[in-house]
Amino acid sequence: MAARLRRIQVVASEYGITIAPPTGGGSHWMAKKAGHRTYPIPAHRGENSEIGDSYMRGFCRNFGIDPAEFRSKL
Amino acid sequence: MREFSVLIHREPGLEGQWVAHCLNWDLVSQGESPANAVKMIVEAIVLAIVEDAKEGLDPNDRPPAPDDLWKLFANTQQHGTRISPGDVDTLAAQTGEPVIAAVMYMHQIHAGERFVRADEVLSSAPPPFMIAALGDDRAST
Repeated sequence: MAARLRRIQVVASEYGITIAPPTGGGSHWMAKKAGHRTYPIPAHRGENSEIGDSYMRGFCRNFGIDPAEFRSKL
Repeated sequence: MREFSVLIHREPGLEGQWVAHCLNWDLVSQGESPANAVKMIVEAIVLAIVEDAKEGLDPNDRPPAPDDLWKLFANTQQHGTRISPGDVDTLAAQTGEPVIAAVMYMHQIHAGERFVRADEVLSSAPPPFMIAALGDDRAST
């Protein structure tokens, strides 16, 4: 199930993850949480970008989140 | 040169979007074609290197993608048709459920000495060299 970045931002914040626009160039936004690796998000259309399920599974693995639980909140 | 294994396929549920998955560091990006998805995953890789350098971390310690994706990659490499990177978009569009296993060689980026901007790296570094094999997901699983 795909979701817009705007919605992913809201749900990610429940897990303590901040998602910010690019500062060092490029079209990827950056997802950050203390104690975890920064994870780039392919957001070529900013907050309106549609993010696919393949990406979200990788995102959840990076931050140790249950993907089914995350998906259910989107 | 640094070698990356990249799996490329359509994004289910997202019309017209392709996924490029760097299996070595479990990074995922999207694009409007296979070639565009590769361009995007290169950007994601560079950003990971730059961000890890800021934290004093080695990107090579990022965990790899799950085993099932590595198996799909290996199977596509073994049984797929070798294609020229320039033909990736055209040939993938002609395949039912295309999956592309690309071995990508990028120039080593050293971001540890100074924090570089990702766009500087992307504009100054030569494009990655790629060897790709095209398979059909329905046939490989």
